[in-house]
This record gives sequence, structure tokens and C-alpha cells, in this order.
Amino acid sequence: MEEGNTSWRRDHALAQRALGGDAGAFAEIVRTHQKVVWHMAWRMLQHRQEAEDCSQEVFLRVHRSLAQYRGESALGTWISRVAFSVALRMAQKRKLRLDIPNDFEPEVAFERIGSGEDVQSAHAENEQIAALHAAIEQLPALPRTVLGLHYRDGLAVAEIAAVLDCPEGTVKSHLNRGRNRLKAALAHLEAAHVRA
Amino acid sequence: MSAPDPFDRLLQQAFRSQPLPPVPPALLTAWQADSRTSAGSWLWLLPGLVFTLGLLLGVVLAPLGLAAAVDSLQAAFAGIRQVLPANGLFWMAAVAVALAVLLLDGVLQSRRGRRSPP
Repeated sequence: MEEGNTSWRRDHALAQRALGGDAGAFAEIVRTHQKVVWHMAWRMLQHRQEAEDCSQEVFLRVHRSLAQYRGESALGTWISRVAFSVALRMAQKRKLRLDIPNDFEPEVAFERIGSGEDVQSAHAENEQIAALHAAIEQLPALPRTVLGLHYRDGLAVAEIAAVLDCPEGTVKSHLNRGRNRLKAALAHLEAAHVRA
Repeated sequence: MSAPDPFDRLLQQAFRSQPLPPVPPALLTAWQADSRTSAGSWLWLLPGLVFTLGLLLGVVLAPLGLAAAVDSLQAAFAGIRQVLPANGLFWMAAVAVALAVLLLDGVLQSRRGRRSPP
């Protein structure tokens, strides 16, 4: 906790330097957070040029509204929230598929997936991983982003809720539905192997 | 303590090994300190200055006609002391407006942050 506060104070000091006209300080902010912003833009938009435009827009907004950052949370969380909001608006404008429909029912039973041994033995692990990579790309923007923040970046549900500015229940719902969709994709793969 | 779900572990592996495109270098270079020169801190006044000069030439001088405008400019530059008595008040007002616009533009830009979009 103390470490978190120290880090926030450092973030706040950096923001103050950038606000004071120190261009090097803002470049440092960009250098530190560009990966997070880029990944957010990429997960949401899956289009190189759009993701690049989105990332630039995010840092432009951060620069304009840096005075609003009070150091009450980590600068990274604050910037991620800006990134999500910009990317979401761009995704809506492009009419991208944002979420999994409520009535989604996997066609193949996937209860066996995730039951320990089956996952280990059903297929070679790298084949499963490759199938998951393909399935992740097919996910709608929101579950893909939420799952990425959780499984790749290691963010907890509460942290993701802070970034998305939504209740934790919404995050859990995206996580569950995304997981189920990916499990279904693996079950399809398994069924195809059994048929073969 | 319960063991981690194997599917969670698999998902973690899948997400961590998923190839994501690298961050475009343009993202950082657009914001690097050396992209702004030391003289750059005054360059942001330039659009306001050009606008004000255009306003002076276009709005104040154009109604006099092009030839008259040129004559007027020549007269102004050649013997400003001769022009001043006739149009002194008018010129002073125009310059005051120009300076006010310039100042206001400068203040607004510095409040917004002097940086232009990359």
C-alpha cells in the first residue's frame, strides 16, 4: 500500500513536471505507458492504422487533461481509462461487434474442458494454444479486452472495473462469457479430432 | 487453498504467448522532447500573428481598393509621420485590436497547452 502511494506520488510529480511545460516529462509518460495504450487500442480495434490513430488520440487527451489527474490513483490506471474510452468510441463508430449476445449457447458441450486431465491429454498443448489464439481473435471487442487485461496483464477484477469505469459484476460477466466462448472453441476442436 | 483451474492456466499461456503487433515508433517520437526546438516556445504565436496581419490587410485596407491599399502602405512605410496626423487614431485603434487579438490567442493557447497535435 505504501509502495502504491509512493508510486502515485511519483506519477503526480511527473504529471506536474509535464504540466509545467517539461516536454521531457510528458515523453517519459508516453514511453512508460505506450505499451498499455497500444495493447488496449489493438485489442479493441484489431486494425493497425485505427489502433495507431487511437493511441495518438489517447496521449493527446491525456496531455490536454493532465491537470485533472490528482494522483489519487496510479497514472497507468487513469491513462488506461482514457484509452478504453477513446477505443470504445472508435469501435462504436466502426460498428464493431462489442459483446457476446446474451443468448449465446455453445453448440458443443464443453464441461470436460477444464476438468484437469482432459485439458492436458485431449490434444497437444500447443495445438490448443494455437486454437485459442484463433478463437481470441474472433471474440467481440469487450470480452477480448477484458480477458487480455486479466490473463495477459494480470489485472484483478477490481482493477479492470476501474479501467472500464463499470461495476465489478460487469467485468465478471465479460470474463465468464469470454471464457465460455473460448472453451466452446476448444470443445469444437476436440470434437473435430474425435470425428477424425 | 484450491488449485488453479487448468483452463485458466491454459488461457494465461494462450494470452501471454499471443503475438501482438509491436508499438509503432511514431507514437513516442511524436512526443519526444527534441521534437520541440528552443525557439518553438514562441512559434505558437505565429498563427495568431498571420491571422492578425491578414485581418489588417484584408479588412482595413481592402475596402480602400488594392491600388489605394498599396499607396497607403507605401505612404505608411515612406513617411509614417505624414500618415499619422491624418489617420493616426485609426491606425492606433487597428494596432490595439491586433495586439489584443494576439494576446488573447496566446493566453488561450497557453492555457490549453502549447503543444499542437502530433
